[in-house]
Amino acid sequence: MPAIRSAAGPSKSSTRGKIKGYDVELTLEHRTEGDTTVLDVAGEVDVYTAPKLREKLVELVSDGHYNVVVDMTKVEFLDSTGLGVLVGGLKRVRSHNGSLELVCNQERILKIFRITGLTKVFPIHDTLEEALS
Amino acid sequence: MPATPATELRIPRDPAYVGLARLVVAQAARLAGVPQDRVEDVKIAVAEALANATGSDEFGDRDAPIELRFGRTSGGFEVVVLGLDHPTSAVNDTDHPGLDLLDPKLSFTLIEGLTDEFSHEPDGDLMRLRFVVSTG
Repeated sequence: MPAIRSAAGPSKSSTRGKIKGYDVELTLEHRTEGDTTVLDVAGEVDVYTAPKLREKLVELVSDGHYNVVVDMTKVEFLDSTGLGVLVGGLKRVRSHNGSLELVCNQERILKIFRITGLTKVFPIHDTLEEALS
Repeated sequence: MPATPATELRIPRDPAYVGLARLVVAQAARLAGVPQDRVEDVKIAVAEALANATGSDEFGDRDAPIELRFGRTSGGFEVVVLGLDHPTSAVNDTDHPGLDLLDPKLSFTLIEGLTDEFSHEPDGDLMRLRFVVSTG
């Protein structure tokens, strides 16, 4: 399994929509921690912003990042479109014998994973330290 | 107490407006006395109701806006969404390669799990969806 060992600096991207003063923003930033790539996701993941998250996961896998931890502690909103993107990311890394794990400690987000049964699909950790250990 | 929701909102069939609809309906739910943790459920249910209708530009062949009617009724905080595509015909991975979509019926599973009443029925060649969250 290829490992990403280069200690590249954080890479940040964001998408923002604005409708008469109402902002929708998703910020994505990744970094490497040993053999694992940590993707920090902040903001709202919905039908409008989810394609940006998908692009990022596709880009990471294309660049050889097959062990990914998605840190969702700063996600303010998640719907089934976001879940679909995460499942797609999981399929992509698994096709390279990799892994995709989540960090999430917010009850309102965890509830979505529970209702959809995805708690059985994703390893979900309370903290990033736990995910990386 | 009105028998039907009193407030109406029409949004373009555009994903950029789903967040706006969430925000407006959530604030109406607060004003109606829905507890804050249930307001979060309302926001997700609204997003799920709209996701299939606005998930791709390829749905843009319909010009008509999507209409939301919401407010406090005798049953609680009620939301009715009109002008939706049928999820089974609206979404599949082949048609929409920009997203990794799960089974679109997952949206219904989520709405059902988050609300106290949920129903959907054909409305011409489109669909009408209704859910209620208790204000108690």
